[in-house]
Amino acid sequence: MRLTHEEIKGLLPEYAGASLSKEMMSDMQEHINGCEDCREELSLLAQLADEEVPDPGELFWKTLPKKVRLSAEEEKAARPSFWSYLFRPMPAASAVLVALLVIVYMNTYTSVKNLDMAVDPYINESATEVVMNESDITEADMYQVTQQVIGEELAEHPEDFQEYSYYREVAMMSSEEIDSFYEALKKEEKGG
Amino acid sequence: MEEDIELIERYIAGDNTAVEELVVKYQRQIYAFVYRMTNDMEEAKDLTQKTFINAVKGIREFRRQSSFRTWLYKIAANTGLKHIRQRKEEVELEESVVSNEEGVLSLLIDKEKRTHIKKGMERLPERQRLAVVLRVYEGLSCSGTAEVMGCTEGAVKAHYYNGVKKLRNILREKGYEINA
Repeated sequence: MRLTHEEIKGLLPEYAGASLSKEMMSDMQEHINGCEDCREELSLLAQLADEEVPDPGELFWKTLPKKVRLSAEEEKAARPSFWSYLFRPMPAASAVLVALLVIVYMNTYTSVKNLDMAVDPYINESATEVVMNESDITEADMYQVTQQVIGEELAEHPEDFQEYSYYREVAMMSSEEIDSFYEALKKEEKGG
Repeated sequence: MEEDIELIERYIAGDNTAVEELVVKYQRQIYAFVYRMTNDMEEAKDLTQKTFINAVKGIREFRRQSSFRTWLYKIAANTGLKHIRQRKEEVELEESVVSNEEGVLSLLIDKEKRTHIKKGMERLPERQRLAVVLRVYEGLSCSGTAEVMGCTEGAVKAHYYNGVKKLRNILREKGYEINA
């Protein structure tokens, strides 16, 4: 596809830099050879490109990287980090407040949870007010409860659970009780 | 490009020496570019430093949608344009003294012409000057120039076309023929 005059003028920098395809360079060369306007412009571009850039000196090249690095370090140091943000008054106070609220909540939650009684080894389920269901209690449970009660009574009143002894009972009577007991036996014998 | 990304990642990870390596790689190109925008060595040195400092400050925002070089040129262009607008000076063409000796005369005419070309560039509106510098001196394509300038290719073509046309008219006004 042949390029227009305006398109070729727009591509003159690429032509000057020889950065186009061979085919395009050839097409452009053909046009430029016959176009004074394009030749003038190409000459101007060449003169522009010839302009030298003054060298600022080795000291500039050597110090510039270090200056930029120092500026980068200052910028990093000035940027607030997570820890410095945390230790600012307002965020720190807010964090403390939040921590206190969490502690209060956890304590309250733990207290409510501790209303549950420790799991009774003699009952299958913890005896909480909500969980307890009489229909869940079995004969085995009742036997275990009974044994526990008996165990507690035995500990408190051992005399109630010792083996019965007539002789012990009589030996424990007072003299008045023995006289009264003897009179009662006599009456019972006379009565037949 | 990958080397540039690696240096950027090293810097973000905490290795500040990576910044020095990036500067060493691009400092001459950026200096030449901003010099051609300002035509003043001291201003060019100052703007080169500002360009790199601005680039380091914003390096976490580099999205990698373009090459790092293009992104850096964009920063240099914006830094240069901002400086030119703040300067707000009229650059006046200087009259030069011409010697009677023929050999010296042609040299002086040449030098004078180059001076006029240089001054002519300074008289261009900033966007036209930028387009000419990027296209002619930096060798960027239309699309590359558009990326640096942050405009469409059509706008680049318009800025470049008008800039070159104005330069040619300035030289004609001064009586210089552009030898085709």
